[in-house]
Amino acid sequence: MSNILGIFNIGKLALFANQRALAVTSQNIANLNTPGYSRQEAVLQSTSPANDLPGQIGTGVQVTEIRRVFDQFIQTQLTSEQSTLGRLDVEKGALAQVEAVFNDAQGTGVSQSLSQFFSALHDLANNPQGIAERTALLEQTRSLISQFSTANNQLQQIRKDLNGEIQGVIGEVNSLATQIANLNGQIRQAEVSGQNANDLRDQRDGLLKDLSEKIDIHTIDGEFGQVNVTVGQGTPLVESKAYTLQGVANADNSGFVKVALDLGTGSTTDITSSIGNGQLKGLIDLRDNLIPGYSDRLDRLAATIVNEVNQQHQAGYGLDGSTGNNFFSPLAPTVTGLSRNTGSGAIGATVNNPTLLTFDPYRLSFAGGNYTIQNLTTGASSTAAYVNPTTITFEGLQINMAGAPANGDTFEISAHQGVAGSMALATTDPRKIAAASSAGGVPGDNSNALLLAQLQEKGVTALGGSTFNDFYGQTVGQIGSDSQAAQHSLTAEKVINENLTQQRGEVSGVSLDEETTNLIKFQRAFEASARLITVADQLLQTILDMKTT
Amino acid sequence: MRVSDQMLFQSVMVQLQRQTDSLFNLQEQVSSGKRINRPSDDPTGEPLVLNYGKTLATTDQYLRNIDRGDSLMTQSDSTLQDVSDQLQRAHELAIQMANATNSPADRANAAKEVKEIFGQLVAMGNRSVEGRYLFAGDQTTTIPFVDHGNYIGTAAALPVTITAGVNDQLTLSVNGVSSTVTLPPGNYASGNALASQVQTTINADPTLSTAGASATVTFDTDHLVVTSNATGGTSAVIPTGGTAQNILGLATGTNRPSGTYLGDSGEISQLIGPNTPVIVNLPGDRVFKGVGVAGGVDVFSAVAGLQGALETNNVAGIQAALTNISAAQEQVTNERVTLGARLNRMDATKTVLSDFKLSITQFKSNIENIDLTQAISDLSLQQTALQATRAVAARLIQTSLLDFLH
Repeated sequence: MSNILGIFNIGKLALFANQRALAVTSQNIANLNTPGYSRQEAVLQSTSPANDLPGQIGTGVQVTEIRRVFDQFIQTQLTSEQSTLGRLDVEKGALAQVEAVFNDAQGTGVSQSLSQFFSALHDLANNPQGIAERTALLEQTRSLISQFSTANNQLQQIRKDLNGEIQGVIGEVNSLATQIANLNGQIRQAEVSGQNANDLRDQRDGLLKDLSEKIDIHTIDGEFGQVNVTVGQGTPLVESKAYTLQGVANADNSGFVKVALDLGTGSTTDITSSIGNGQLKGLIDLRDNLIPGYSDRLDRLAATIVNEVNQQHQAGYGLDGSTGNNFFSPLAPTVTGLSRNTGSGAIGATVNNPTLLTFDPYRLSFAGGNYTIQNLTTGASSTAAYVNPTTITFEGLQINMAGAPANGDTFEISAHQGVAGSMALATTDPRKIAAASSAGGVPGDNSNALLLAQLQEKGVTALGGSTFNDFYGQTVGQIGSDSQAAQHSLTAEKVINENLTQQRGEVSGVSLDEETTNLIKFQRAFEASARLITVADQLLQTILDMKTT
Repeated sequence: MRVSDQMLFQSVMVQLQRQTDSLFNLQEQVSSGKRINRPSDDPTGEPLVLNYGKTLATTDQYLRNIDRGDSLMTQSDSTLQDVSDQLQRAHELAIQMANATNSPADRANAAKEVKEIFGQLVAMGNRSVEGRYLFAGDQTTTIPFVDHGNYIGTAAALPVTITAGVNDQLTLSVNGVSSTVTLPPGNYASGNALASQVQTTINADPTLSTAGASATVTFDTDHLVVTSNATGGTSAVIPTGGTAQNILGLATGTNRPSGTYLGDSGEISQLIGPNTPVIVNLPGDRVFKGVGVAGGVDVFSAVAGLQGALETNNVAGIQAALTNISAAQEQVTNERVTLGARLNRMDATKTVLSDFKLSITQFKSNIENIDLTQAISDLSLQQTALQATRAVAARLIQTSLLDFLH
C-alpha cells in the first residue's frame, strides 16, 4: 500500500540503513592500520515490496548483514606459510651465530691456529735443541687448544640458548592456544544466534597466524564458527578448550627438553619428532641435528689431531732422553648409558690401538644373554655371549663390560665425543717434546719433529682421507652453505609472504580513498533520506491543510 | 586491482628495507675490502680462501726453513773455504820443506806455523752459529773437536792412599814426551785435592818441563781428567804405566788426542716443501775425519803428521804428509761441492716458492677481495636507487582524497 506514511517509513529505514553503513565505514577507517583487520561492508537490500496497482511498490531498504570481506583460501595459505617463515627465521638467526664461531676471515680461528701450530713444529725442526722453539710450540698448542675449546663452548652455548628458546616458544604456544580457545567460545556465543562475529574472527585469524609461526598446525572448522586446531600427527591442541604443551627434560639428550602434549589424561604424549614446521621445528632441528653435526666434526678434527700427533710423538725422544710420551692428553672414549637402562652393567672403554680408530659412533646393547657391539656408521657389528666380566677389542677400542646389564640395556660409545672441549697438553716440560727419533741425548736430531710437521700434509683416514686443514675447510663450507641456504629460503619465503599479504590486502585491506568516498556516499544518502521525511511531512501538512480550509 | 592503504605502506617499507639491506651489504664489502665476510657469503669460496691461507702460511714456513738452512749452509761453506785456505798453506809449506836445501831449524820454524794451522783447523771445526756447532752432526750442543789433547780416566775410588815406594809411580807421555813422576805419599779423600796434587807433581817433573810439556788435572764427578796445556797436532796425554795408574783410574781411560771428534754422523734435514727434506749440515766426522768417504783421510792427522815430520826433520815423513794433505784438500773440496749443490737447490726452490706465493696470493685475493671500482660504483648506484625510492614513497604517501574535500 502506497501512502504518505509509507514514504515516512521508507525515509526512516533509509536513515537507519545509511547510518549503519556510515558506522561500518567509520569502523573501517578506525581500523585502517589494525594488523589482520578485514574490511567490513554493510550489505544493503531493499525490503519486500508491497503489492499495488499498477505494480509492486518498494517499502525501503535494510542492512541484512555486516559482512567481512575475506578470502579464506588466501588466509589459510598465509597461515601455513607462516610456519615456514618461522622455521627459516630461527634457522637463519642461529646459523649466523654458528658462522661467527667458524669465521676465520678476521684472522683468528681454528684454521689460523692450526697453521701456527704446524709452523711452530717446523721451527722446532729447524732448531731442535732450542728451548725457545720448544716453549713457543707449547704456547701455540695452548692457543690451538683454546681455539677448539672456544669454538666448542660457543656451539654448546648456542644449543643451550636454543633450548631456552624452545621453552619460551612452548609458553607462547600455550598462551596462544588458550586465547584461541577463548575466542572460539565468544564466536560461538555470537554466531549461534545468527550474528557475524567479524572482529572476533579477525582476532582469531591473527592468533592462528601467530600460532602457526611457532608450530605447524592444522585447522578444522567446527559448528557455530568454532575452529579446532591440531599439531604434529593430528594431536589436538585446541578443541572446546586448549591443551598444554610441556617442555620435559630428556636425560638422553643432555637434559634438553622434548615437547610433550598434556591431554589431561594423566600422561603426556611426546610430539617432538612429529613437529614438522614452525619455529619449534627449526629450533629442535638446530639444537639436535645441525649444530651437533658441526660439533661432531669439530670433535672429530680435534680427536684426530690428538691421535695422529700423539702416535708420532710417542715414537720420538725428548731432549731429556724420555720416549713414549704423549704430546696431548690421550683420548678417553666416552660411554653413555641410556636413561631407560635398568641393569647394573658397568661399561668402560679405552683406546687399545690408536691406528685402528675410526671415530665412528658405536652402540653396545644387551639381549638374551648376548651383547652386540655395532658401528653405527658402517653397520659392522659383532655379537657374543656375555659373561661377567668381558673384555673385547673392536676397531681400536677396548671395551670392558662388567656387572649385570639387563635385557635391552643400551650404551653409546664414542672415541671423539667432546674432545674439542677437553683437549689438553700432556706435558708442560719443553724438554720432553720428542723432536729426535734416535735414543735420547741427541739435541740436533730433528727427524721426529720433521715427521710431526709433515702431519699437516697427511690425509687422515678418519677424516675421509682429508688433511686437518681440508677437513676444517669442508666444515666451514658446509656451515656456510647451510647458512646461505637458510638465508635464501628465508628471502624467498618473505617474498611469498609479502605476495600473500598483498593479495589479502587487495581483498580485505582498507582503502582510505574508498572509505572516504563511501563516507560521502552514505552521508549524501542519509541527507536525502532526511529530506524524504521532510517532504513526507510537507505532504501530510498539505493534506491536513485541506481539512481546515 | 584494489589497493588498500596498508598494502601501499607495506610495499614502500619492504622496498626501502630491501634497498637499505643491499646498501648495507655493499658498505660492509667496501669497508672490509672483502667480498667474503662470513662463510655464507660464498660457501664454496670460503674453504678455498682457508686453503689458500694455509698454503700461504706453509709456503712462508718453507721459505723460513730455507733461510734458516741457507744460513747454516753458507756458514759451513765459508768455514770450509777457510779450511781449504789453511790446508793450502800447509801444502805449500810441505812442498817447500821437502826440499833438501832447508835446514832443520827452518823445518822447526815451519813446524811452529803448522802447529798454528792445526789450531786454526780445530777452531774452524768447532765453529757455531746461534749456539749450534756446525760440524757436530746431531750433537749440536757438544763442541765437536778436542783442541787440547786429554785423557779421561775411569772412576777413582776415594779416598786414595798413596804410599811411598808402593803405589806412587806414574809414567805418562805429554805431547809425545815421556817421563815417570813420583807422587808424594798421602791420603786423599777429596777428588779436587787429588787432582791438584797430581797436576803439581806432573808439572814439577824436570823432563816434561824442559820439553815444554805441562798438563791441567781436574776431577769431574768421579774421575780424573788430565789435559795437556798445549794445542796442535801433538797435543796429547797418555798414561803408559806406573804403580799409581790403577788407583788413579788412569789405566783404562779414554785417550783423546787433539783433533778427536766428539760429535756424531747425524745428518740434519729441513723441509723445503711438502715431503721434501734437504740435508743442511755436514757431519764433522765426514768432512774432517773422512768417515764414510771412499779413501777418506783424517784432516787433523794429516796436518799433525806434517807437524811431527817437520819437528823431527824427517823428509820422507814430510813427503808422506804431503800426499795426505792433498787427499785432505780434495776431501774438503768434494764436501763443498755437495754443499754447493744443496745450496743451489735451496735457492732454486726459494725462487719457485716466491713465485708460487705470489700466484696463490693473487688467487686468494681474486676469490676473497672485492673489485673496489666495481663495488664503489655499485654502492653509488644503490644509493641513487634508494634515494629515488624515497622520493617516490614521499609523494605516494603524502596525499589522499581527504586533501581535496572541504
